[in-house]
Amino acid sequence: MRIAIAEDSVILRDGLVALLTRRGHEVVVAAGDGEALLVLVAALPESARPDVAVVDIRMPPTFTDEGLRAALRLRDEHPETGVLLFSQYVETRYASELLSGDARGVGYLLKDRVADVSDFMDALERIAAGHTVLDPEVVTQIMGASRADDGLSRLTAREREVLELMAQGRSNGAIAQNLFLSYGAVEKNVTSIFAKLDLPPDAGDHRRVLAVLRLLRPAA
Amino acid sequence: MTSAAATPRRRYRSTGWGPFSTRTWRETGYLWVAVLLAPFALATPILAVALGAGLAVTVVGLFLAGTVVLLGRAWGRLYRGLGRGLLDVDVPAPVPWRRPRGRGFWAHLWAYVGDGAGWRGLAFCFLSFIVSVTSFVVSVSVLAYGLGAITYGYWYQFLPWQTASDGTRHRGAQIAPDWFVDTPARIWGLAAVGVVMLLVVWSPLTRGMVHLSRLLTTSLLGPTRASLRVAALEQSRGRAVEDAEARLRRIERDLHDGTQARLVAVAMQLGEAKEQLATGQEALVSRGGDLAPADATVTAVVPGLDLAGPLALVTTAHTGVKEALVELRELARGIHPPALEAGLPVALETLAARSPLPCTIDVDPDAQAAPAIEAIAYFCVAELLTNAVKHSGATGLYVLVTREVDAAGQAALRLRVRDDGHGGARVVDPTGDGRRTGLAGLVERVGSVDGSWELSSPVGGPTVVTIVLPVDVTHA
Repeated sequence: MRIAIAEDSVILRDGLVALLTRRGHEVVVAAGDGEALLVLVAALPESARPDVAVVDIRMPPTFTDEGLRAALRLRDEHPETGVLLFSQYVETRYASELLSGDARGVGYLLKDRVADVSDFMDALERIAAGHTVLDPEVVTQIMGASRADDGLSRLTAREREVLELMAQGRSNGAIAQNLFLSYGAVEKNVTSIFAKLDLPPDAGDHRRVLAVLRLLRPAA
Repeated sequence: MTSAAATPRRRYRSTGWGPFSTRTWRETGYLWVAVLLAPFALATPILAVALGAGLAVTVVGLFLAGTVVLLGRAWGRLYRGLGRGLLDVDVPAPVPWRRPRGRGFWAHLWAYVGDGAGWRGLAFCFLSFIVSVTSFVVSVSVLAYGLGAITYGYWYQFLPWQTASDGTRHRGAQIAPDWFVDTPARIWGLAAVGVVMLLVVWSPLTRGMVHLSRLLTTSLLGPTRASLRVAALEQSRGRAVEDAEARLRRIERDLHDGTQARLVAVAMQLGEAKEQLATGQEALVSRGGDLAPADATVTAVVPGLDLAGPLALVTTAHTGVKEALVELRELARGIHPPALEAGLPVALETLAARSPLPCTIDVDPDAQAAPAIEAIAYFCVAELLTNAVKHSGATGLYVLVTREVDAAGQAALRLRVRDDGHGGARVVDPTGDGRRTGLAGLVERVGSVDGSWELSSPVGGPTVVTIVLPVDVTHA
């Protein structure tokens, strides 16, 4: 994969570059703030554009949500590039802003998750492949924030668990393993979730993203 | 309690001497203006006392009297201006009057009726009436006498004829019995007295009389020492609150940029080490039974190589670092929630989403305040939500944050936190050992910026806490 990084902490940026390089990926951009990320990505030739960008939310100059703004602009200018927001904290508002557009190929993870290296690499690959990956903490917060009636209240506890794992970008197989269920049981739960959330069957794989989005945008 | 802060500064250079100096004429001008204003000014304290005494039985009357008391401040401002322009005395204004923020009816009334600066202004009106009328009469009499005496040589011829006791007829002023001013020597003598009056007596006398007004101005129209001290304390407390907030924010920023980033990097490296060790260990174990010749070199170089021990150590370290990261995040959030940098609404949304009970947050997008105030608002809501979850037995919470502007034009932030629990909440006084209980700590926090708060929690619920905070910390 070709990867772009925007992270203002030098230690962490260098660490990430080293890690990704060792894992056989190519870091094409390593920027210290959002503006630099956009400029450097735009300067790359079409063929060398990154597959996914890892963007810290809190960066200079104001240390609030520069990373989020940069990520949203990056999505606008280069829709084919996946974006992983990477932060010390999970803020509900940021998550829903990030996911308010096309939620395919975006992710929001706590920085801690990089400690489990293989899981982190998995997440990057899933985002590059167009999936949505949300931190368990993001999912909990979103579940907490959207308690109005939007179909979610009709889900059983088990279906909620399955939906939470779907939001984290897990495949049916991974969900089955995680919840100690059979693959068939997970499939049944997923079908039932789609039905309860009124998601049309012809949406194909995209239905998983739609289901996750339903979590985030209760009004939609 | 008089004002020492009134520091008369010389702003004008007086040109000329005695009666011809600009200073004398400015001060005479003051006397004229003051004597014209005096009756109107005098009416104000009389009105205040009459209204207060006469209408004390009706509440409206008291407020009316209170409003008249505040008029004393207006007179004070006018006379300070006059003093600055004509008497060369620069008295600073008293501490501005502030509308009390929701502290009950009597406190509200007292803010009007008991306004110290207003009453001092009224006292000035009263005393100034006596002083300025007396000064005016004395000054004008001396001036008129002097001018009259100098010009006497001309106008005495128009006086009527008078007959002395010895039968002689005289035309002129009779100063003593049978002592008429009608000989040239006496006329010149009177003119000399007039010159002395005008040049030597009038100007120091006028200045002396006016000085009484100046003393009144400095002692009654400036701020009192106590009020200056209160204002200074308010300001320094405001700065202390802001400093503390800024310091906490800096600590959080340092943790974020330094310690947290470093720990994440360490966790990442440990994670990688753990995975590499695990891979190596698997290889060793799977080939442990019958080592191929190539693998035998490994155990030949390091006899009895076993990665299980290091792997366990690294795994423990890895878990420990991850736990430390979680703890550090909670700690930093408790010091200063980073979302506050993006504004109160963003921070409160996250707070609500993290609450274990369904919590609806309604924040006016205009609800902005100084950083220290927003931090207090955030921690108040956080504390109230925690309390509600722990003690109220509520099933849902509602938080409303609005911005309001009162009649005096002061903006405030109003927080309202309601739960549908069983009520009966009360504030427990802080214990002696310095430990503060939840609500009491909150009351202190709100009090530190002169905010107000109200708890309504009847047994059976619901519990509603309303907090009003000024949007700025330091007062002008």
